[in-house]
Amino acid sequence: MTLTPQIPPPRNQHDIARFEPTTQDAVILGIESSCDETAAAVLRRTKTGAIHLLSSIIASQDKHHRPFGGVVPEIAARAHLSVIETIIERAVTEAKIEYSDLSAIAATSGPGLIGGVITGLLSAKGLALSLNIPLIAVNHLEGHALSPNLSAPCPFPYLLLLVSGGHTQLLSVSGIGQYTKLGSTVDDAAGEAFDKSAKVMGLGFPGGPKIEQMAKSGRPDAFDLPRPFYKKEHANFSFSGLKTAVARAYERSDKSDTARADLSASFQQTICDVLKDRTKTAMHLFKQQLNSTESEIAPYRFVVAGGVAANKAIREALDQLCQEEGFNLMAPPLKFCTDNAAMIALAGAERLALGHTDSLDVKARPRWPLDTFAAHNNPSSGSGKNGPKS
Amino acid sequence: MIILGLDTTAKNCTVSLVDSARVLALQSEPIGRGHAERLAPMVLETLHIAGLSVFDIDKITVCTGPGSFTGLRVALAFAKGLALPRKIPIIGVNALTVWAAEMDPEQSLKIVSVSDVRRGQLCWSAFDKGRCIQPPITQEIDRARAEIAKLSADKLIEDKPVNGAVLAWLGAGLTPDLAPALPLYSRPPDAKLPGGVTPPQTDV
Repeated sequence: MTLTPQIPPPRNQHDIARFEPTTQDAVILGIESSCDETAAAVLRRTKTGAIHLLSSIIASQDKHHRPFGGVVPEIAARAHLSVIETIIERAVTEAKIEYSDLSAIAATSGPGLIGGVITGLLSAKGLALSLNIPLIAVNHLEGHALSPNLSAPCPFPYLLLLVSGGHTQLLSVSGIGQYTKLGSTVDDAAGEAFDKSAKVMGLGFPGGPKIEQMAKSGRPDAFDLPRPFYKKEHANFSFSGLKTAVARAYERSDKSDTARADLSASFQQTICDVLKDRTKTAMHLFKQQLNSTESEIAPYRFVVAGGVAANKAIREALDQLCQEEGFNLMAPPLKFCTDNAAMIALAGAERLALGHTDSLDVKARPRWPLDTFAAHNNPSSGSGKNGPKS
Repeated sequence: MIILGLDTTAKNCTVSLVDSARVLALQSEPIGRGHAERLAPMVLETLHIAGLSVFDIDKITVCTGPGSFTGLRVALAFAKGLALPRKIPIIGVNALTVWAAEMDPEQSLKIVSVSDVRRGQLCWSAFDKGRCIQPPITQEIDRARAEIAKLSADKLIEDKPVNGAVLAWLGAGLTPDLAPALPLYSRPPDAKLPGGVTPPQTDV
């Protein structure tokens, strides 16, 4: 139904002047909407590569999801759409810039809940088209992987433990876009185990802080819970059996506050043990991998990112492991551990500096492993129509 | 005044550019899926056909639903991003209104627009001489049919593609205060509280 006789060839890319990262500072607006936080941030990357975060706004949807004991995708998508404009406006205002100062728009385009991802990505496409500047489709996991650089420069290579409500994986990071999977969960994410265990004990949502609070007054050895893959040579995780074991143990208990506290403490201890053990294996794999290429890089760097890294007991366990294994722990501040748009703007800035931009027909991807080669050849979890998660 | 019309609520991905007198360019593709990929390039193509640039757009009219929840968010989210830097006003118009306006340009009839929103429900709206007498409402099919019959309308319109030009023009006389670009979801999110309890309606 075209009223004009001539249809031009498809134009996926608007006419943008080429960005020169060596002579220009880049000002990037980042947008994040892959789960239950709507976030926008503005970041300046100088021509020498220095990072200055100008603003970072996060609107949490906790109150919408709390009654359900978990994130409801359709509720999340609706909430993203209703606040996205306000959040972007606040990020630009607080950064004290004009829209015309922006060099590019970076938006999470996966992996995540597709309704939310589409909302953020389409706003980004509208902005990029409106301002005639490049669009950068960012992998949410790459944002987490680079997030330590938001507080202090963290040189490559490093070992990354990404542990959140949606992901649990160990990656070797050797550069922008250069990730090697060392291990991953084969079923649930660690954060999911926190949320689901809190739900069965009636502790509320989100489960992480609730369980951490309850665990303070409980005995960590009160319940013996399963530790799948413990001491195995690979670095994979499995958490689905743990949440089931928590549910069974809770059913059999007297459901008193003492039982809840004991079970929370035992659960947290189990997660600590598993993360520590699996990370230790990955540290050995990481060292082997480096020894073949670079010999003198000790002390090695270990980065932990993702919402579960907010748990103090887990941080302490990993800190202790790092001391044992000769690693320096680089944990981004809490505000950059959980989902945020600053890390998306950062990943976008680094990609722009390498000349990587995306066309306006770029897809939102529910699944998008960082190490696509390993995910394709050696998937850690079931594939399904959207492909492997990791 | 140049108005951009956007519709991604159903099978078609539609982009139109109109001024007060003419259709400058109109594209509509029955793609079924992939609106999130197709919409932005299609806006560029439509601007190109009309010989305009993005800076010429004075107003945006978006079709707000009913339709696929993910689909209707595509055009709404895109419009929000497009409008932000220059504070272009965005007008929301629902598909039921577009169908009625297209059917009755003289505004002389009583019209009912009906959309099958699945799961045994219809979302419908009624108009008399161009004035809305029943805002969009979602009901079980039997109940909806009975209420529609009572109105004895001159015309009954059932699901059809949204005319991009009519959509854009409907925005001409409206302001964001009168017709905000709010999504028209035909039902609440499909989620049950622990214990299978249906949650109360929320503002999201």
